[in-house]
Amino acid sequence: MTIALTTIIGAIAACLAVSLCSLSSMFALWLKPDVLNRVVPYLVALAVGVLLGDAFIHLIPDAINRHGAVSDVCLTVLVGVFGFFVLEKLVRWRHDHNVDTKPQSGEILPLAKMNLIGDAMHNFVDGILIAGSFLADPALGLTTTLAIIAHEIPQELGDVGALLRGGYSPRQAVLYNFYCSLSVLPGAIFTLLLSQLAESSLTLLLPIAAGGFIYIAASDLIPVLHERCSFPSLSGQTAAFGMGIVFMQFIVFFEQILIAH
Amino acid sequence: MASLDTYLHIIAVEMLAILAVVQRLSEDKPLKRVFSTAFLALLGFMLAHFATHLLPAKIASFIYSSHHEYHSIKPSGLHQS
Repeated sequence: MTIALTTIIGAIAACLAVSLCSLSSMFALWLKPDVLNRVVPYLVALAVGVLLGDAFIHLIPDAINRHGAVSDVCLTVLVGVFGFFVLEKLVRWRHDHNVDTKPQSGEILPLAKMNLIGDAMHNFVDGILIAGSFLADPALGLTTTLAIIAHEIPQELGDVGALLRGGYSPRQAVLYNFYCSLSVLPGAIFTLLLSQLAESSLTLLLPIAAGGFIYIAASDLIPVLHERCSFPSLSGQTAAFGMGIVFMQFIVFFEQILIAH
Repeated sequence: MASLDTYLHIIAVEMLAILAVVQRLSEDKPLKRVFSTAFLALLGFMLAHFATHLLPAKIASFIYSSHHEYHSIKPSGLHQS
């Protein structure tokens, strides 16, 4: 199969646009440290809502649409959760034995590293989706890119919140988050080179990424939210969590409108 | 569908934006230098491309589009049989 050069270059341009969006979290650099400390728990709550929303509203239904068998997809999601659990155990065993949710001076918590791994995997899947839709039709490629950018921006905000909470400085958080977002390019190149294999690998990659998101949100980020028990943090974090879910649901409507046109 | 040139221009602009931001964020001096060199090289290439291709093409299309319009007015008696 020969692929038109415009398809390849278009997919790469779309992937770079998605990576560029990850730099939208740069606003964290302009906030004063005390303001940032107050904002971070709400960003973490937003990350929980967005990660769980992405897993349950986007990735799992998409995997079921592609695969057909709900039980197989659920099993693969569980494999994803298990895989990320083992990965976190390895990270803790290899690098630190700290189980606290507060970083000591200059120390990076496993939750930040797990978040980076999960985000890189998610972006790889996004790259496959972008290139796959560009291969099908360039117009579909553009609408897919728009949909991915729409869900990427709140997710990147939440991810940066989680990275800051994990002990990274604001500059490092934005930069490492951007480096992870570049994994969208290998995903697209993998699809352009091996489109058949990439298409079939989505039935595995989508639920595994969903499992990773569920694991990170439930085991790493939600315990962080329980650190503060005052009424303002209860109401603010609940609102941010809910906003993340509502936003992801809104993206589904947005995607349906885009596809309808 | 956008042309290859349009996609390449988009990629170049995206690369410029990425390099500008990343070199500002990077704290490592050698890495910062690599990013700023790449940014300047890409900016230079784009400016050269603008000066040697895009600008002459725009000027030519401005001149010849009016010329084309002048020629497109057909004499009224041409199609009479």
